[in-house]
Amino acid sequence: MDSYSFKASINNIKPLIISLKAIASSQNYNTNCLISNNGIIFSIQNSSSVEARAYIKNSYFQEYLLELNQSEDNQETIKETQENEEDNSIDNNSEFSNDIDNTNKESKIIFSLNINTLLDCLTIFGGFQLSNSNSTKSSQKNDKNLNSEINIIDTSKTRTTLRIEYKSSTKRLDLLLEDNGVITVCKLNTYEFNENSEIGLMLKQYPLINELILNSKWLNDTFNTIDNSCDDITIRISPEAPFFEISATNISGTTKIEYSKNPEVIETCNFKATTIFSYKYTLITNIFKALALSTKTQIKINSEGVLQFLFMIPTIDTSVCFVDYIIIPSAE
Amino acid sequence: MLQSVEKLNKTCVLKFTRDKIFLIVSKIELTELQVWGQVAINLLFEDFIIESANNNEIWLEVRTDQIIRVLKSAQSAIDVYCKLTKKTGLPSLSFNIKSIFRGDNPVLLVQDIPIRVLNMYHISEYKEPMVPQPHVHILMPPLVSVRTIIDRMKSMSNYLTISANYNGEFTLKIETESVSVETYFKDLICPELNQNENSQSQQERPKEQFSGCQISIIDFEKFVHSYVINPSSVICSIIENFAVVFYVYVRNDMSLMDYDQETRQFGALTYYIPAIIA
Repeated sequence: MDSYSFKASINNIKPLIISLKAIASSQNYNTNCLISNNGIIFSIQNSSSVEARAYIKNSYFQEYLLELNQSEDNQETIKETQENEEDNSIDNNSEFSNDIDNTNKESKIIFSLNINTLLDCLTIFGGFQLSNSNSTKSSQKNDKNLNSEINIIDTSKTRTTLRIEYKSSTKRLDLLLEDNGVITVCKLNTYEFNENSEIGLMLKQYPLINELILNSKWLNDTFNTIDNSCDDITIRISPEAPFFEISATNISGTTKIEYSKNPEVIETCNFKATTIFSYKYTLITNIFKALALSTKTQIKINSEGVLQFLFMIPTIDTSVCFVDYIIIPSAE
Repeated sequence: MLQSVEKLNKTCVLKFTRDKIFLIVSKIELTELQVWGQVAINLLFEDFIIESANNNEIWLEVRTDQIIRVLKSAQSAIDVYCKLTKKTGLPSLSFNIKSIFRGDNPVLLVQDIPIRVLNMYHISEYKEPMVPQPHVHILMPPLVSVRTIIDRMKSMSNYLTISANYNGEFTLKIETESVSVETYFKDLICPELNQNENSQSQQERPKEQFSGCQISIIDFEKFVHSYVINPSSVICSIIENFAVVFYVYVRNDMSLMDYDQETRQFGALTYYIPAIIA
């Protein structure tokens, strides 16, 4: 039986909290947690068709140490990272995201826990509220639309530092938070990793057809405009015009939003063939929080219509974090 | 002070004596928590007359939200006159509030609050709880920081363990089957209380030893709500496995000159929280 131990420390927990809040929902789903050499991945499967993941790179941490066994040949090197230049391009995340689907025996620790309990512990010294500030454009149209600009309000006046420890012998995640001389120790019990997530595989197995990176603000506006009484939304992507189109139908009619290839809107795109797929609106609503927080979004669709939204969310200063959502299309 | 206890119960009892007003909140549903507060009359009133057959004490039961509303409307007044009278056959507390409204126009506002005068039978039900000598007392960290922590903790558990030692350390702990969270405060002051009988037992106790007590987290949250008074100091007294008593000292910002020598403050609220043995 392998024994693992993991230790990490971080000077400011704000990026971690933002990442987790972007994928957390009010319902308590078991959240899978994977710790590898590249960082930590939290993934939640809200239903059989949606999976949300937050990637916490090891570069956020001032200290990151993952140890496997006590024997010499298996010991991994200590990663003492400083806050150096981070590659903030959205493509850079791919190596990291592969970890979750890797089944080879690279050292990684897996377990599951309750993300809301984890967030309660992390925010013990002060809440980070996600506030809704309604943009003037949508406030006139309908008041039932909740997807507007979201700001993170940091109500803590001092920085909170965190030290995480996990030992496979205790199966317990220990958090040591310090804020202004006051120390809080949280010990969370962890559970078995949920192995039955096929959604990630559904994305990887089939060939990628279309991908694009766009400015999140436009996508956010689109969903603001779409009435939330519709059942499905349809995404059409094609190498010929119209290139990128989102449409929704409800009792009062159809809304169709077309995007131009304007580089201000769509930064990069790679369209191989035309894809038209529909997704249940209730599943799409899951992404709204993360979308509103992000500055850029990468969209990928494969031959089966499995859709991936990868959001780049600014944290502190110029740093960013990544959160993604994978959605399975509705069968027609 | 009334605002601190407003959330605890709909009504509270005011006991008027010659030189003090006592504020009592007791017999609250679902909890054994009790609050006993006192204010010196001479700090609150310029002129005070009290006369009663019951040893010059008057006990009244009032609705907390009503009296707060009246006092709020009197906040910018130049003169307030309060009288115990009978209006339409019912006893009530009558407030004559004189204020200046927008320039030179004096405005006289009269507010009446219906009250219940308590008789001997009811009075005997209110007794300030007697607690044995505490095992430890310590000056609390600022309530504002405690408040955010408790806010998170209360969603995780119903019970809170409070402990402290004479080394200036204070901890709050919750424990459930899935998580345990413990917060440590250090470098706190342990006040010297003049209790001569106690000094011997204090010396024998090692400084690092913690004394703890488990209480209901909701009771504790109600006490933390007293941060609204902006107390000058709050003392926590722990009697192991029995109760926790918090003394909240209210500051008098208006006249720093004349404060009562005995209490050295404007007044105090005492929260008695019983222990829960789970």
